[in-house]
Amino acid sequence: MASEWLKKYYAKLRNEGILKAFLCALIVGFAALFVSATIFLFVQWKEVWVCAIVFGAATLLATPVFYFTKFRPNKKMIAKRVDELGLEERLLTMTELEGDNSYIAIKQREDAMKALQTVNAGLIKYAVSASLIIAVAVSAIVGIIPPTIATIAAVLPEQEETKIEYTLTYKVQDANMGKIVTWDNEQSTANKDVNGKEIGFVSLKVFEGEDAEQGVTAVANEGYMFLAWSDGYVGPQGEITPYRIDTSVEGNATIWAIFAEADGGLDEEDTEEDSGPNLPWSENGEPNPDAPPIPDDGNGDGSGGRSEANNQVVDGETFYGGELDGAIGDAAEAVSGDGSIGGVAIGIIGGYYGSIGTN
Amino acid sequence: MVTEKDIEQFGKLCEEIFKQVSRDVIGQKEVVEGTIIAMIAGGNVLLEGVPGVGKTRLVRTLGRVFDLPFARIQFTPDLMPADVTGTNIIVKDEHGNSAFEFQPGPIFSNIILADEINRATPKTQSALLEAMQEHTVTVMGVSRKLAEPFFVLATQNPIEQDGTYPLPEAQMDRFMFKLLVPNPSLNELMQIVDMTQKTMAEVADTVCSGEQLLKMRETANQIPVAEEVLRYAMVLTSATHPDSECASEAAKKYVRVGASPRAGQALISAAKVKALIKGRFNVSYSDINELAAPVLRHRIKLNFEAVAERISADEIIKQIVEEVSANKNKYNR
Repeated sequence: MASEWLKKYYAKLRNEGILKAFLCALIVGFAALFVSATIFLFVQWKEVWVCAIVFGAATLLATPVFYFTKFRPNKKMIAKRVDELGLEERLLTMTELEGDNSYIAIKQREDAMKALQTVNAGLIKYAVSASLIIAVAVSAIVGIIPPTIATIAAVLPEQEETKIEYTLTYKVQDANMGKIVTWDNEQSTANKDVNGKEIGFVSLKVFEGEDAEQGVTAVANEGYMFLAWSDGYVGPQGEITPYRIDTSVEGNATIWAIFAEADGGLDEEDTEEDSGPNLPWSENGEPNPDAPPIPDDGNGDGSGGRSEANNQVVDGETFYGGELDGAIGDAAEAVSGDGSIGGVAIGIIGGYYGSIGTN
Repeated sequence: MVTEKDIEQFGKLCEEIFKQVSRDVIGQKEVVEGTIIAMIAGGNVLLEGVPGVGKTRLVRTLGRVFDLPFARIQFTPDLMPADVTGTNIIVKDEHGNSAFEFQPGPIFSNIILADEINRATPKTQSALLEAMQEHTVTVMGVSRKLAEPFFVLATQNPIEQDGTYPLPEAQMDRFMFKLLVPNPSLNELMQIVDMTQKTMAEVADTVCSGEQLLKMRETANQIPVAEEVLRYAMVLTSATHPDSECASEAAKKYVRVGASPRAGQALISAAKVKALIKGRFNVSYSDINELAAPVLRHRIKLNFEAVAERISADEIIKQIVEEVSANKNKYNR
């Protein structure tokens, strides 16, 4: 008789047991997912789909384990559940008295079976504790974080490091004096100055913080000699050298190669013209075609630029480009000498700054 | 060995006992049921209530219904132990020789009404200890067995505390139930007045002899208790101890001393009777829960925090029952 009522309720409670076992197994699965994905993250293994297999395998393996060890309904469990329908522990007591044929045990069984008639399997609802559901939800949230991160890390393309490219421009002030050539003997690029003369320059593209791929050489024409680089570049021994290769570049730069006439290289005409200032602009403001070209750094701020009416800010006569040449020459000599600046240079610099201050 | 006749007789007698008691005692359903359960289970009862709510009348009625010798002891401060137990007196026999002869006290009865028990001194109160637990009385080194069934139904007034001696824990523990006798409701009061206008005398008939009562107790003792239900009752008892392994939060907070093992025994014995009265042949959790308050309320000693917060023993027991009930699966294998 006992087995008959058991059959009536077993199927429903078995399903409930499987459901509970599956939920518990899900916790195990999510734990396995968490561990595997965390390991994958650390070893940077991108086959994240393996984590899903680990999760599925752990869940599938744990479900029967939980079912058979904890949630498989036995007679006592079924009796307790049916008793909750209002049978007041009649079935629980009946299962314990099974095999007892005393009058009171028989009476108890009869009473239990009579009470059992008042309920049916449909009254038993699936009972899954809220704590179990919360545990599954929490483990799901915690378990899914590492694989999500691992998936994102695997799916996203590796971001290439963006490097800033700078331009190093090497120029000569007068194409007649010399030119810039790269070390691979590539010809310097022609460019025209304001007077329409071609001047040589070389542009090199260099990434920030890196070294230039090749060096440049300032080659003086016949009758001229290389004097210095405008940025004061010197060789490894501290010597002034026309050869240079820029290292650890940190910005755009325009570097002028400064040439000077070699000793005795000047002809008479030049000598005569030296008698007075050869300004790039005449007194009436017209350009002087005979004036030497003015170095232009191209940044448009007027420093070291061409002689124009609007940059004669001091006295309207002095061509500061020419003064600059002289000063650079003096500076180069000073650098190659004992490092002191001559009195003339000091006077020029002082006058320059003084004129700015009074303007 | 319980037979079908015993079961039938139990049911019939119970029905008749309740019917007859209700003729003299209006209302007080829980108190009447509790007292009858305790009498069938063989326990003593402490009835606590203000004067005039029917405590003494209930006890007298039960004495009539059970057809048992009934003795009333009015406890007063000058009552001596010998007044309760009896004493040896010198008597002369027919030859003129003097000899001690034991003169039994009122305790040598089946139903003892210890009225206002807390008014007697502890020395006199303790004279009841042996009688209540072992059902024997020892006077001058001689132990005498009391007649069975033996019950002590004591009353006390919770309001007037001047000149009273609170019962010691050992004495309290010997009462199976402490029942609180409430004031009657308006309807009950009207019925009481109406009834007593006709006659003040008890009208209940005798329906149960002492032997029948003992048979009822034997029958009830055969009621099976599932292991889980038994464990639940013991957990409930143990949960009243603040330092036990299954101490409830309420006990930890408000209880100084928990219930003794006698509480567990009383719970099960009474639950069996209650189940059988309901026509059930097994003890249920609900039986245990319903009996928790009368069994435990006088057995737990509250701490200062409970007194300061004016939390009663009943409230604490309610919390303990709720807590243990919610976690009953935790303690079952």
